[in-house]
Amino acid sequence: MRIARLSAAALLSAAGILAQPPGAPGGPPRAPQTARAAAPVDFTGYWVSPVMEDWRWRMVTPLKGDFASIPINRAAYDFGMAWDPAKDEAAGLQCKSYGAPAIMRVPGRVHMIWQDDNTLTIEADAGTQTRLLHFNSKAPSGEAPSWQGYSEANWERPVRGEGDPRNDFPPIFSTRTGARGKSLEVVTTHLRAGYLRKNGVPYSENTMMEEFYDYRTAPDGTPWFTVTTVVHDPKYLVVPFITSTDFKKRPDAAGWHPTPCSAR
Amino acid sequence: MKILACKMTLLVSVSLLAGAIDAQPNRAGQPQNFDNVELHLIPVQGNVYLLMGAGGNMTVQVGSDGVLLVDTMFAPLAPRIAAEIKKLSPLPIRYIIDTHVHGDHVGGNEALARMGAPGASQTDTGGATIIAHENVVNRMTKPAAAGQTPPPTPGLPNDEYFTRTKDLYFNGEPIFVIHEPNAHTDGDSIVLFRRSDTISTGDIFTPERYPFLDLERGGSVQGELDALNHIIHLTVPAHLQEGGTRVIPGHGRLCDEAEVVEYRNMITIVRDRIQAMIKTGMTLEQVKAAKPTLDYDTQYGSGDAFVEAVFKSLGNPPARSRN
Repeated sequence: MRIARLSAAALLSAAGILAQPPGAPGGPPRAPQTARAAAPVDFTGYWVSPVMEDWRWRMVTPLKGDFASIPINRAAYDFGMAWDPAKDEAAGLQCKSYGAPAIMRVPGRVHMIWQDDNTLTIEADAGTQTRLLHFNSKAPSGEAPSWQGYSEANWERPVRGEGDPRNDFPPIFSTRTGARGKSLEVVTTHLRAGYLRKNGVPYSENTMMEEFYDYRTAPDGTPWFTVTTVVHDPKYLVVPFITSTDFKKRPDAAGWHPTPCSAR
Repeated sequence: MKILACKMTLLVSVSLLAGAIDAQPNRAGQPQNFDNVELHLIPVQGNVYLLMGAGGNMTVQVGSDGVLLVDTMFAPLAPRIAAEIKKLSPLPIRYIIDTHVHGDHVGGNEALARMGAPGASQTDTGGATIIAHENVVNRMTKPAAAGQTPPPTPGLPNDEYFTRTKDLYFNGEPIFVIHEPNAHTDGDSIVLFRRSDTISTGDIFTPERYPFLDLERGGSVQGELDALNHIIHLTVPAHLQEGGTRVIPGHGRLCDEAEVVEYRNMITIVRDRIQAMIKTGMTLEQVKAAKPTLDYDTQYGSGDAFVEAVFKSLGNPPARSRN
């Protein structure tokens, strides 16, 4: 009788466990999802960057010495004052202001598409640049510095009660508070030294860049995202340089005009 | 490079000079040669004109009721200022509004008021009515010895206000005098000419130099930002963000909303940088050495005094003055 009760309890308990959905607390571990399958929102498609701020630094090449709003140190100031676009052109360095720390601020359009299940591609028509956001992957040893560097990406998990209940976990990846579960976090390193602004404000090869892509839908139903970019560069910045840039979804490739890099 | 260096030197010189003048409250008749000062009277819009010369900018509003002035520069310039005003109107100066206490803005109070006539109510002197926030009056009044009546202060405002706003209707338009607490000082007023769509800001807004936060007289960086945000709230730009509401700064060129936004952004960015440095435990000397305004110095001159003021203001914000 006693054994029977225990067995019944064990069966009920086992049934309870089995009734848990895969991945739920106490349930069996889920098979690892690909980044594409785990995407809380769809960033793919064409996006345009409406220039709603900093027009004078983004739409035209600022004059030498116009460094306003970038927290430069003296070394960066001196570097910027020595800016010479003709020298950059002669050295084949026209793309210095199209590197990852600057490219999302350059007016134009981006096209986001999955290269594979764990790699999201951001193509920019300005400068014809391509960024690769690697999920579930670390930079290989010996990764060579490049304009776009090596980007590691993670989805911010939704907070409990937000989004798909199967993903009802604390935001274990995110270091941010207030995550809404519609965000993408990216950390980029292995950068080739370039310009934060086209008039020669430098960032160094030691730069580490964090990005937070926040997706939202406007009242008219149009998707937007805002990318908050935090550039850390102990060589040229006294504090991190933070910008937030908005992108609006476009229905198709109309207006997509790839152009080469320009040093001027 | 050379031109830029010269420009920077000039900016620094102007900033230092203006800062020194600003730091001297209510000292009309400075030992300064005003003979070579050029006065420029510039139409703004509606009934409002900008008068530029030495010291702070003046605003002149004219119409069928008479003349209203915002700020008065320095006393020695008063006869020439009066001559400029006569080009616009033969009617007397009825009102003077002081944006704050500093001598380059109130120095001509006494002389210009004496040339005028009272506004809505009689004044002790029979001259123009001088309006200011009560904190201006308090700071212009010398403390009296015990049991004695304080000596009269020349040019003292005779129509102070202590509420958030004071309004009057003059020359066919509503005029709002609005107190902005603990900004440049603790007695700042901005003046909104509603029909002429113009705002006089006093030294809360000085687009060609960093703000002078007069901490000794109740100024603060947060109050400065609050005041600028309020000015932005009151201004409306026209097509492509240009024009619209005109903004007459305490010093410098005639502006519109976009320039106030630019200025507000600069102060916010610098404030945040210094706040971040304070959080890492940096001392004032270390913050100054890091040059957190270096990127803006080509535009606004040396930022050392501003950085020091922001650092001290963040560490010791003033109790909010009454409004």
